[in-house]
Amino acid sequence: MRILREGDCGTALAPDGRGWVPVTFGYRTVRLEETGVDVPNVLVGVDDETGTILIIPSQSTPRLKAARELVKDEVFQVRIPHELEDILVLLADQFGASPSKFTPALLRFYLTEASERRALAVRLVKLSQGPLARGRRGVKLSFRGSSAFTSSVRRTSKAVRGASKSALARGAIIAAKEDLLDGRSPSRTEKMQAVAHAL
Amino acid sequence: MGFREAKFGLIAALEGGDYVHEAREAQNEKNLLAVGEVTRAFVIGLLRRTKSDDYGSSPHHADASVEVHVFRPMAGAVRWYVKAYFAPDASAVFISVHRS
Repeated sequence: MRILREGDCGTALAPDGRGWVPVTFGYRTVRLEETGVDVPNVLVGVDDETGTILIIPSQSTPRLKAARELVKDEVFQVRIPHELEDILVLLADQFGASPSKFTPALLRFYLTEASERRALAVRLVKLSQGPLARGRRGVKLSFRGSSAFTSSVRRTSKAVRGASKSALARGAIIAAKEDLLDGRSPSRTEKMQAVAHAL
Repeated sequence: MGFREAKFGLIAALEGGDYVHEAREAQNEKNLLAVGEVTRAFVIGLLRRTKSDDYGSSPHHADASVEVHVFRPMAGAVRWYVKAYFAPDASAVFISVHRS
């Protein structure tokens, strides 16, 4: 792999119709569009005429990856069976909320409580072993959580046997089905209604 | 440039490390290769499995003389999207690599 240096020259396609234009490689801060992270000291190809970034060489990828990894610490991501996704959508519908907003709120609700009450964590693990939770995990669930939340999930995983992040999430969805859809917990139903109203 | 030439040209560019990523001030995270979410070996694998039916090309919006190659292979149950073009020196410029 050729390692480029600051000051090296190249060409890039200008976005404004000027065609191929000369660029000079230099170190700049690059913003990652979706995660909103500014990554400093990334080698990029800068348009000699306009001073804008036009290309990023492959040698800069690990730096961008490292910055995303730091942010990923706050992304909660698990894979679940389609059936459990159906339950989440049913629940959101029951509470009059959009699934994309309700699902993270529901999981944060249950997993935060599980980090505070061992009995709930044990229940979630047990539920994750049932047939409904063991289907093919064809759905990726992903949302951002505070570092406090993701830390609390990690603590629960360490404290309770079998309490992987995936098991806790799957168990939480089954617990929500029992508590909220099947009506077994009026108090949790009331709390989730308040959460749904706040979304 | 035809399908085979584009496909094997991109594979060669990836294998040789002879590629860059199109960027603006904000890096589009739809280019999973640029941000390290997938490796170049993975993208080479995607290109290798691409059939001619999963390929198309069109002029670049900024310069119609530049042909943008679009590969849409299936990997398992997931369709991927690889979009790139070639610079005058035959190096590759990736626009995006992501799940469809």
